[in-house]
Amino acid sequence: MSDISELHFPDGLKYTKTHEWAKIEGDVATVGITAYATHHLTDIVYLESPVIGEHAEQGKELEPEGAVESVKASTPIYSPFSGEILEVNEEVVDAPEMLNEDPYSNWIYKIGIEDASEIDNLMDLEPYRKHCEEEEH
Amino acid sequence: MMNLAPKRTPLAEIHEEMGGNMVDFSGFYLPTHYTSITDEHVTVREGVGVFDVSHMGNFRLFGDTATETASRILTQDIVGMRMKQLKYTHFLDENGMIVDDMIIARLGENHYFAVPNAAKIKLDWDHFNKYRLPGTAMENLSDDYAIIAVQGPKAADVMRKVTTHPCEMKFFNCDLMHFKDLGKTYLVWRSGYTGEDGFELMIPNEDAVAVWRSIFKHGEPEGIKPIGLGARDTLRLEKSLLLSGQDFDFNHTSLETNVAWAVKWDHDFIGKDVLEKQKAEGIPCKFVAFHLKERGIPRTGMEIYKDGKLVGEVTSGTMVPGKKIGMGLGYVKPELQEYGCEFDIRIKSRDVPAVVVNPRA
Repeated sequence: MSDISELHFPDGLKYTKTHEWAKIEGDVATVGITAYATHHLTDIVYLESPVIGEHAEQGKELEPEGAVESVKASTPIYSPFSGEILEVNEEVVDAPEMLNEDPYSNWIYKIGIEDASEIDNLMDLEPYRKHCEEEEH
Repeated sequence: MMNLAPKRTPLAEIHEEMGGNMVDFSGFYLPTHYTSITDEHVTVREGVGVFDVSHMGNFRLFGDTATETASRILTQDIVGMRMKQLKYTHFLDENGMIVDDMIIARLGENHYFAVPNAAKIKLDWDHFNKYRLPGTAMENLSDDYAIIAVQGPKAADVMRKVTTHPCEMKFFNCDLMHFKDLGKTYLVWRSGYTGEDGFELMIPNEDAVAVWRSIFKHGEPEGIKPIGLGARDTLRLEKSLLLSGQDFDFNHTSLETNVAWAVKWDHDFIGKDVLEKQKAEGIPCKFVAFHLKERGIPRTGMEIYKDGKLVGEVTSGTMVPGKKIGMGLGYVKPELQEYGCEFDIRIKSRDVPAVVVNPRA
């Protein structure tokens, strides 16, 4: 596929192997999907909204709902932390193409962090970039 | 060892040059899209786009009994075809199940050219061979021909510039056309898989790149664009055109589909007895197109419910590009087939209401 060196990954975020980003503020994480994910999904046409009040597990798909869909395929959203889903970005649910335009200012949901040590399982910018490069091959 | 690398069509270098996102599709190296599926979908609906459909097969049937052979295999009326006419047809196994669908062209009294689906070329070939009469010869030209589809309301304008032909023949007819830039003549069908006007060009492999370039040169003023497999699927889905292997796969008869008209009863064909029985007793399910009334996207395999009872299954689904409507195709109980009938699509934990629509409206 095309060159991933052109994709933007901000510093200061934590990244998952499944291409979510998390911005940590106290015991709340704001979660979205990375430019690598939007690049591969291309036309995002639908965001199946995560359900507020549901409990998520680190590294697992959101239950019972929460997925990003392109014209062709549905890709589940995973959770970077275990905890309760506190908030959903309704603006992005209404206009999911915003994820293609800017996947970082357009967050998807906020989650309460139950166990701060789970942060050790997430990646910083450089390891994440390396992870993306490996996935290309 | 078998070579498992996807086959490159004669146009592979063009797709790479034009920035196609290349994938392995049924063993063929083809682009899903160049710009975006939405952009390409809208281009074909409003202007003109070009597809490489070289992965489709090419069979030639000829010999004294070719008409008789085609007639006993295919559900369509072959005997009544005019020269240069095309017909959309099914062919069935002995249980009445659709093996594949195809378009067939009559080129002469006993001379036919047919285009089977990529993933079923081998299977279709064996099926035709099994029921072929003595005196019918068959030639599998699938590896020798590229097919270029020029589709959209401006397709005829472009073809009039690329060729010397007036392009006045009606949809579902074909003719030989002389291509100006190449100084050569090729078989061109007025047909397609997008629900729009269009042409499908049968081009020997060695000329495919030159023909493609000629089309783009003359099509530039019309804003012509290359179109990938993604938009090919959304375009056909929006118009409820069946996809072989997905909307039927040895599990449905022609009568259960939305193209039961492709069965002509005044001739004998393989599987006819099963269809006659089904016609008398009633069909168990019917193929419909539906729109979701709320947010969501139906996907293949999802179940369809009416008043809490299972009444069908989704075979294809998408979000129609540019329209923000979740749309699907699938089979439901026959009493739910009329336009306006309502049922629910089970999308994970939600039952999303849907309504049967006329996709040609």
